[in-house]
Amino acid sequence: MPLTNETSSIDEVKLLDRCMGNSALLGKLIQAFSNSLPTEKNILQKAIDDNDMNSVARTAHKLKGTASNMCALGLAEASHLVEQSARSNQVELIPQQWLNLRLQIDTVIECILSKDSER
Amino acid sequence: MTTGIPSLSGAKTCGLKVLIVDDDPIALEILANFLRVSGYSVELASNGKEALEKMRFYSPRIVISDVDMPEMNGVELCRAIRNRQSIQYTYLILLTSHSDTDSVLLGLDAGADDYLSKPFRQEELRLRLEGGRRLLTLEGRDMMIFSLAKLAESRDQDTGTHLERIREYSKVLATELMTWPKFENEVDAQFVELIYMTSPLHDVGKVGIPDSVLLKPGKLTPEEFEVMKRHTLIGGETLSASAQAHPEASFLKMALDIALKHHEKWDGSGYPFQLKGEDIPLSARIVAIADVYDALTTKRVYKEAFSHETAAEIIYKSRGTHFDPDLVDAFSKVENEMRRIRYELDEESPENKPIGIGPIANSNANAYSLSSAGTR
Repeated sequence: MPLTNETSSIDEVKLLDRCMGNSALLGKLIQAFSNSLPTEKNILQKAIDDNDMNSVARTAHKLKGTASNMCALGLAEASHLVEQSARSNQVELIPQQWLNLRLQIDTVIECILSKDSER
Repeated sequence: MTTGIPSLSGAKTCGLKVLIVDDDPIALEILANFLRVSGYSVELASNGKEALEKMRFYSPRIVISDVDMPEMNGVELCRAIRNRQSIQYTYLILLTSHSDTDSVLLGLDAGADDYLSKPFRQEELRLRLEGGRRLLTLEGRDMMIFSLAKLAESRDQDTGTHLERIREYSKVLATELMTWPKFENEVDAQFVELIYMTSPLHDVGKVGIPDSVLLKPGKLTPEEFEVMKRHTLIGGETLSASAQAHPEASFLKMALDIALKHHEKWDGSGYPFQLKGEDIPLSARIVAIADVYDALTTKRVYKEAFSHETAAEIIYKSRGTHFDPDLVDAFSKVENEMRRIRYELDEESPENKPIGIGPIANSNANAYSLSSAGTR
């Protein structure tokens, strides 16, 4: 599924609602999310390099959950596809899906950094 | 991390303790914030093992747990919580993925009460927590009722499993009435449930009766009997305060009726108000028969146990005097069920140790006086 920029970043309005209007918590979560993404990306990369589908599925599943909570729907969807392929052992689908997922991760990080610089 | 942040809907949650278990710190923060704002007291753990450790000191009423976690997952946590010795019930909610139906089944099988798809929707979580809170409230209510009744019973050493039998007898009689057209507007399944729940409180006022009267072997003097009669008023006053504070709680109203009026008699010769006929609440009329049947068939400090046949004969003779005629007719329909309960809930049943069978039983019944030897 092609991913668009509209679904790539964090929906801050929804996230603020999930934070019950607590903007300090919103900022804290975005920061924590931004910090965690490079690590998750590296773990996934290693699991794919090792062809360890259990680890790929587990890490993608966790990333999907965090992205859903953060209202980063594009990232959540991309993680979901990688998780599904890993669980069903459809290894041939993973390179393209992993490329999309990396793009999503990078886009989210860039969006957060650019917003940070605007603030 | 425990919070005391004021709530938006804290009146209902009243700081109910919730333990959230998730290895995703972001999920933990979002959920914790939602619960704190909603008035819950919140503790966090990052896996099942840590959750169990925290439960040693925190004692949450509700646990919300992710399924996939390191060290100990959510299903294992549910199982471990259910296997613990605990004086109170812990309501368990599992957080699962939409697609993870296997985990839902495993979790429910391991003792989870409910599950919620991730990411949680605030309104859905609020409603599910409300369901959990209702269940915990019911548990607390039932525990409170039976604890109060047991407190009263603890002072009356001869009564043994009296409370258990009273509620079973009352339930059997009420269930029979449910099928009678005359009672169709008054007795339904909820009435049966309420009388089962509240009948053990009939003698709660005995906590206020001195030992010298309550535990006296043999017949009470008229003065002592006047003191003993006060237990209905003491029980009534105790429950009246609660019933006034919680007018929506129908169980308190029934408990009050029973405690205050279960010694009233159909012909108006009972106490404390000498109420007559249907002026006596139905619940109290039912418990009156249950209480007397139990008193007759049980050995007490002041009397030996009668056989079922003797007790039944005494009850039949009291039709329209002590007891509501309809209820005596209902008793006749469920007599065997009453006898079974009597037998099953007491090893010292007169079925095993009869003191009055056949002609002897009849002579006991003829000589018997309810006011002096049956129930106080």
